[in-house]
Amino acid sequence: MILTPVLHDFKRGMLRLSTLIILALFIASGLGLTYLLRYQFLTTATPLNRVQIVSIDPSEEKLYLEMYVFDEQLNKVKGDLRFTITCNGETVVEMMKSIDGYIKIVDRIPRDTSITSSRCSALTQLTAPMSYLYSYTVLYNLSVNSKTILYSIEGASTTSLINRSTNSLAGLATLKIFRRDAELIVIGGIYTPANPYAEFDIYVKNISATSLQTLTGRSSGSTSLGVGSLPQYVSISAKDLEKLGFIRIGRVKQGIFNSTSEPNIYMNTSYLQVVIVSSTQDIDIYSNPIVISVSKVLKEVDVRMARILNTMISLIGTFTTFFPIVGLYLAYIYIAKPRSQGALEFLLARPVTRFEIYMSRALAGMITLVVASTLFFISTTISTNVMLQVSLDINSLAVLFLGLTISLLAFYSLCYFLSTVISGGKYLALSITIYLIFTFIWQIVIAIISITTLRLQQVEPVKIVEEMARNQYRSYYFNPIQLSNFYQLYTQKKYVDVLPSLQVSTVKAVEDIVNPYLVALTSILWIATPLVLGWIVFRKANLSR
Amino acid sequence: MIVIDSVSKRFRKTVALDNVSFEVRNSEVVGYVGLNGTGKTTTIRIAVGVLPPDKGDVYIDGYSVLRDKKRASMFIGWVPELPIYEMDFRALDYFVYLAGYYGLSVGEARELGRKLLDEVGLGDALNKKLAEFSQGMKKRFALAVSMINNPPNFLFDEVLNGLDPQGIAFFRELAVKFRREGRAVLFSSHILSEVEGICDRVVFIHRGRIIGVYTMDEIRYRASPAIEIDLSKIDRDVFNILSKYGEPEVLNNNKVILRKPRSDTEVILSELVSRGIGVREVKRVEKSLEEFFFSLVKEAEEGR
Ligand SMILES: Nc1ncnc2c1ncn2[C@@H]1O[C@H](COP(=O)(O)OP(=O)(O)OP(=O)(O)O)[C@@H](O)[C@H]1O
Ligand SMILES: [Mg+2]
Repeated sequence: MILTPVLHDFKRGMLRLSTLIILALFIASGLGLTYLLRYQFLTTATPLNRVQIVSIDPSEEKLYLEMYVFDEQLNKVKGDLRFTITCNGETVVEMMKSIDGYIKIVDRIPRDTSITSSRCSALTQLTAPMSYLYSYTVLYNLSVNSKTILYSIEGASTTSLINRSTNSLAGLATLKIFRRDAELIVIGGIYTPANPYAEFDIYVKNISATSLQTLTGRSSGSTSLGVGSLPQYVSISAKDLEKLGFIRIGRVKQGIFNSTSEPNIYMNTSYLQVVIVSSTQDIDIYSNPIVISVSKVLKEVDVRMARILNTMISLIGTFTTFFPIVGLYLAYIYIAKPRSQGALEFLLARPVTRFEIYMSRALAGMITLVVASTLFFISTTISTNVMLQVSLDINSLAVLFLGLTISLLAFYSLCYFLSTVISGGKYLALSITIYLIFTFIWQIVIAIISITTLRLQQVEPVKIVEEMARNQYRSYYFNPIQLSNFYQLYTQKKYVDVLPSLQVSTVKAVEDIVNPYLVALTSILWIATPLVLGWIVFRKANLSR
Repeated sequence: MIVIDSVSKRFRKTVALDNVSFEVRNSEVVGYVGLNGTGKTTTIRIAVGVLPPDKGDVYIDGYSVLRDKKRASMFIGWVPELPIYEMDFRALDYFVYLAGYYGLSVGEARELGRKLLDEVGLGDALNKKLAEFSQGMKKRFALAVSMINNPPNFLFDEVLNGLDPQGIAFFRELAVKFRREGRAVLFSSHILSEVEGICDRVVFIHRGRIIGVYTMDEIRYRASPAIEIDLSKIDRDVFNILSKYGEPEVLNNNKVILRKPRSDTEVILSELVSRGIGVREVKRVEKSLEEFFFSLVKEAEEGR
């Protein structure tokens, strides 16, 4: 019997011009932001993974260039590539080639008198090995899957210029190790001009298991090398390496290689010690252990997920900041205003109890807010699904939605309580003040308090940022509108792998402050307590004018 | 049937009602008369269950307003002194909204709303905002709403106040019609003559206390028959004779007014005539309804 009035009250709350306009604004801005994100996805480059060997043989005037270019998902990258060698800032060699993930150029250096300057002659100067005068630049204009356009300019490096005529060092081009599901992917390049047919074994060891391993060998004097070159004539047997805890994960030919293996035991480490050993007996070279960080192969979805998550969180943040005004207004039209006019009295003369009037209007407002936030949420989720073709997992969506709704309900509940205590214009004045405090002033005040107290306690500057974040989250327990931050944090934690590092550090810093049980309890209390208090007031309130 | 049972209510220091008890039976229109601020509206608010009493209870057809409010409300209609609604609603919409509390669906409520609003004379104002309603229209609207459930009991709180002659006639006729239909109607007013024509009984209230309950006949009898007699002479004998029949008061040489006559005029006249006193003119004085009311008030004040 009470249901019809609830529906009516809901209808007039929902179909109110102000409610609809604010909701429409939010849905529109959700669509707009999603569209913007789509545009970003289509145009912004993702960092490239590049491995290259460049060498110049002045005696034969030959250039050797081998290169792999991958995106974050280790897809081959297609496009145009401009390769230049400069000397003292002047371009002495310039080549244009198209690349499809991989390129190998073994060619004569194009002779062009016009690029010969007084100080650098392409031919004469290039005969001077490893000249620090020289650098090379590679410019890309590339695309992945013909979908995303990437452009990136790679900086210069002289160390990779290997003079082929000096029949000495082997070069180790950038070595990268990735983790993808249950495999390790090793991408790198080894180049030994002396023996083009040499093969190498790659050994790795979990660096967190033991300390860094130094190997000694025949020419121990020259063993401290980094990425870029390999020592010669230091021998160690495979058995010795295995005794030291290294695992062979693959054999590669020289040149650029790309090898995969499944050493599951190292899946969770972030650093590996790597040794590359020549398997050719007569040359017998190895690299001193190199520490390589292991990065995760990000699925395409993951990369976008971080941005989607952040977009959704900022959208939800804006919604939870501004939509409480609707709740504030609903409490006004349901209780504060009719009470000040004395209109609730006539209502109470119907076959209805005071409690039913109190609850039905509270409920109508809550339904309005839930429906509004659902509409907002669904429209945002659908638009990300359609426009970006990815979506957060259902649990994260549910938790984000829950947080959003709980914030709205908690603040509405508070307003509803206020509307029973004071009515009419006074209610509006007080509730708007409280709203402003909870939304805009709160974080500023907490920040100021934090900074001053932390300064007084002489906390290190590095820690201040973290401590401030922790104080903010502590304070959210006392702020109905900011409760949603707790729920957002849950999702951020879930996607912590793909979040920018700054955000990750905040998430990590506040982790122990956000106790799910406490959050649930606080949410319930924030919604229930004002409602109960409001009833205690309303039960005895004089509804006559 | 409405039973007001020992109701007391105080607002901070003001005692608004002090142990008020009376009843309105079926097929009866009862007047509730008192001066301004004596507690009529407070009684009625308590009776419809919108104001909790400090003590006592009200029973509507046997249902306690305190313990069984919803059922009690089903059986009573109320036209407040100054009806206040949520003013940004349109009339029919608010009617439909309120009808929801009686369990009517929107369709039913709309149909009934058109019918009842038309019956009370608001047929042209269905889509008018309640804020634009005049005082009389608001009262008519309250009446329409209170008839949603066709209740057997009605409380009219100074409904005639601020109404045009047409409106006054409308509500008077309505009260009479309700009585004919067997309903119980309480009709409050601060003017006794206003309710004279329609009430069977009148409950008098003063300063939160019931100072008398009289049938209308009784009131007329007690109040109206002051007899003004124009005599050939007035002396001690005449005065003594008249004193047997009431409270005589000499107005001038020939005129005497007999208040509270205890017999019919004919009996008094025949006695006077048989004693050889010349009676030139006999006149009934009719204005004393309010005087009766005031005398009650006066007695109550003196009795304090
Ligand atoms: N809500 C209230 N708060 C405080 N005092 C009140 C309230 N309502 C009524 N009173 C007081 O109670 C007394 C009775 O008021 P009530 O309105 O019942 O009188 P009434 O008989 O209806 O008067 P009127 O003929 O003017 O309508 C008055 O003294 C009034 O001031
Ligand atoms: Mg009154």
